[in-house]
Amino acid sequence: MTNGGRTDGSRSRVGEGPPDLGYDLGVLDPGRRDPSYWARFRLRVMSRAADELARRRGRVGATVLELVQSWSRVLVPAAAVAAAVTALELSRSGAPGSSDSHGPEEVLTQELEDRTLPDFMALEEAGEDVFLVAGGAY
Amino acid sequence: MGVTEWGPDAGLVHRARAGDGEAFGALVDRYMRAAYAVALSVTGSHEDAEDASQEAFMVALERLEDCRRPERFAGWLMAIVRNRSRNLVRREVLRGTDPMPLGVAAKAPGPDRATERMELGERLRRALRELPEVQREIVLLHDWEGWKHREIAARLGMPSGTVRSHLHLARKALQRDVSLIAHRADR
Repeated sequence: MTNGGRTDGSRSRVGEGPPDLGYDLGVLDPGRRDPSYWARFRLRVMSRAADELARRRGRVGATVLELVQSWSRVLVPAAAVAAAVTALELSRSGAPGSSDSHGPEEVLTQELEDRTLPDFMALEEAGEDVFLVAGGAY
Repeated sequence: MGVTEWGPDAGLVHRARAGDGEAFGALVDRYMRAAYAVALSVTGSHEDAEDASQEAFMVALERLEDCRRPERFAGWLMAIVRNRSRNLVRREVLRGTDPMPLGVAAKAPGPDRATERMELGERLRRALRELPEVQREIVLLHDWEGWKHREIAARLGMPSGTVRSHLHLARKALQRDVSLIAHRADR
């Protein structure tokens, strides 16, 4: 079967055969008895391989889609959870009347914001104690 | 290794993995005879060698991802062929059937030629049977399929010197056995 039908130039034994050895293994070549043997051999292999090759082609197309889907399966819920947490945080910190985030200075001045000095003077005249607290270092 | 008009094996393997029938067909073209020769060296039967080598291509296609070194596809494929062939022989032994003789002609050109070829085939088959499996494989790949020492060495994963040594021993044994058988037949 020395390279029968092969186009591989790297193996230049076509018709050459081994040196005179006293035997010819070519008699075992089914292609010598039947010249169409190897073509039929190939055809049988290829027809049996058709389903697997088609499955592989389909898988390549599906792989890109699967990749996007697998990403979306993870990313969409993660983004939803992150959005929900952020919304909750915003609603808690941004609610009117909430004093959770007030510092000490804000607590001390909370009821004094709209009052002017004449208001305080008036309070003192009315007999109420007024303490003015100065902040900062002198 | 394995560079032809289709390019190296590795490229064909990558394309075949993606379902490229042309690439897989090129691999079949390139190695079907070698696969058959290896299967024949194990089974000693044309029908079994045909079954095992065709089956091996199917297995190889299904498991292409397991071929971790696509540039060594041939050696990997031949290992599959060997395993499938051994399994086939084991099954036949369990079933208690003998392998079909080599050289059975499906479409013989004529009765005389066919008889002559069958006799030659039978002599060789008997002589090959006497060889260790590795020598049968090497002598078939070299003297029949035309693989060079270094190709056989690389693909079967053995030193080139070992290939030469096996080939030398196999040839000597075949020459001796074939002439002995012929001598006995003539008497």
